[in-house]
Parts: sequence; structure tokens; C-alpha cells
Amino acid sequence: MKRVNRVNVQVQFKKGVLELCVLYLIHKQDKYGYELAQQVSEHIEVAEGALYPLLRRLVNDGYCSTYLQESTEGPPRKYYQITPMGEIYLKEMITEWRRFVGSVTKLIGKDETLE
Amino acid sequence: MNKAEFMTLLERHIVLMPVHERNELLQEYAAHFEFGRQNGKSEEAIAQELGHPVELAYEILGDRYVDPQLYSPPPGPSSTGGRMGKAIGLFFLNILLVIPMGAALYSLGVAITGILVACLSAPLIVVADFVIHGQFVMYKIFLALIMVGIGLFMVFGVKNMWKGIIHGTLRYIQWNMNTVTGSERR
Repeated sequence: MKRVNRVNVQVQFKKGVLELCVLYLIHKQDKYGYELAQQVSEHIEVAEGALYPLLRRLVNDGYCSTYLQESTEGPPRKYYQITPMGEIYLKEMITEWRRFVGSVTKLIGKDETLE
Repeated sequence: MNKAEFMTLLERHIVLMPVHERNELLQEYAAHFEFGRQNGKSEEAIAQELGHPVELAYEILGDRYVDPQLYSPPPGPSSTGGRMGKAIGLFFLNILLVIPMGAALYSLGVAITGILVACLSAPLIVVADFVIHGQFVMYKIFLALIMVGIGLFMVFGVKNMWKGIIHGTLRYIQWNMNTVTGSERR
């Protein structure tokens, strides 16, 4: 039987979910890239570098805006802030996510032979 | 992989991005390294967490990603070996061709300058002739005047010639050094 590459499946999952997580974290509080990377990787195993292209996309799509803040030590921090449009998008995504997870759980939830 | 290697590799692979966006993004990665360093992480560990630059470049550019090898040669050989090779090549070029030709050129310059000096000093010779033989010879005086004329005529030419020769020499030396050290002049 063909073994499915577990890592690959995870990568595909994460890519989609990462956007949701990042936007949610920014919605909770404005964050700069490194901070965000730390918090995301606490929960999800991810190449932290992939956050920056994602953040750029979010900005380009109008879901986030950025501002710079000088810090006493180190380079200035580029903070990401969610926009009203981002809030709407986040709500949609969360609803969609819940529905999706619910459906999947319903579908495979009770089958214990696969565990 | 350390910070410099990471940044160089990433930059090389996202070089197709508009320069403004690219710099902004590279700045984010550079800042990430800084913040990580402040948290006591090594550059290697940070690079490891960030992921491989080529995969990130693919992530960044998506469908627009093109392997840089397809549009630009790999970075020039700045290795010690490459430099040695270039230095040896230049050495033979210089020994066999440039130095003999240069010597000939300088000899020509000296010869022409000699002619100039001779022309300009012709009246002195006439005076010396008078002192020795005690009489003026008309045709010698005329000849000396003609030679001074020719000499004055030559002065500017000779001056420019030396300027050219010296300028060329300096340019050539500069080129040699640039070739060996690998820096380019644009």
C-alpha cells in the first residue's frame, strides 16, 4: 500500500491555516514579524521565514497595514495591524474553518480503526 | 548557514522582484536575525528556523519564481583559487606582451623627446660652434632657427603624448588590480 507522506500533508494543511492564525494573532494585538514568528511556532511547526511573504500578501490584499516603531536596541520594529477589511475577512475565515473542521470531524470522527 | 549566507542566497533568488519590495522584504529577514540574536540565538539557529532561502524564494514569488541560474551566471569566482588563476594569467600576459610593448612605447617616447630637446637646443650648439671656431656660419644659424621652429611645433604634441602614455599605464595597472581583487569598475 502506498504510504502518504505525512510531512507533505502537514505542509499543505499548514499553509492554508497559517494565514488564519497570523491574522488572528494580529487581530488580538499589533505585532512585529519576529514576535509573530515566535508565537506561531509555539503552536505550529513552521518555517518562520514563510511568515514574511504571507504578511506581505496580507498587506497587499488590504487585510493588514504596517507602521514602524523605533526600539531602544536593535532595528526598528515593523508592526502589523489588522484593517477593518481584515477583521471581516478573519471572521469569514473563522466561520469557514469551524464549519470545515466540524464537517471533517463528523466524517472521520467516529472511525477508530484508523488511529 | 549564517546570516550573510542566508541573505545572499535569498537575495539572489528573489532578484526578479521589484527592487523596492525586495529591499523591504530583505530588511524584514535582516531584522529577524537581529531580534533572534538579541534573544541569544546563533545565526545558524535562526537561519534554521527561518527555513531554506530557496524554498522561501519560491514561497515569495510563487509562479513568478525563476531559478536564477537561468538568467544570471553564478557569482564570479572570488575564491582564492580563482584569484590565483587570474593573477597567473595576468602575469604571463604582462611578461610576454604588455611589458615588451610598453617598453617599446616608452622608448619611442624617449626618442621623440630626444629629438625635441635637440631641436630646441640647436641655437646653443650654434653658440658653442662660434665659441670654438670663432666665426658665424650663416646656414648653421638658419638651420638652427628652423629646428627651433620645428621644436616649438612639437612641444604640444610631445606633452600630449606623455600624458597619454602615463594615463594609459595607470589605467592598465588599475585594471590589473581590479581583475585580481575581483572588484568591478562601472
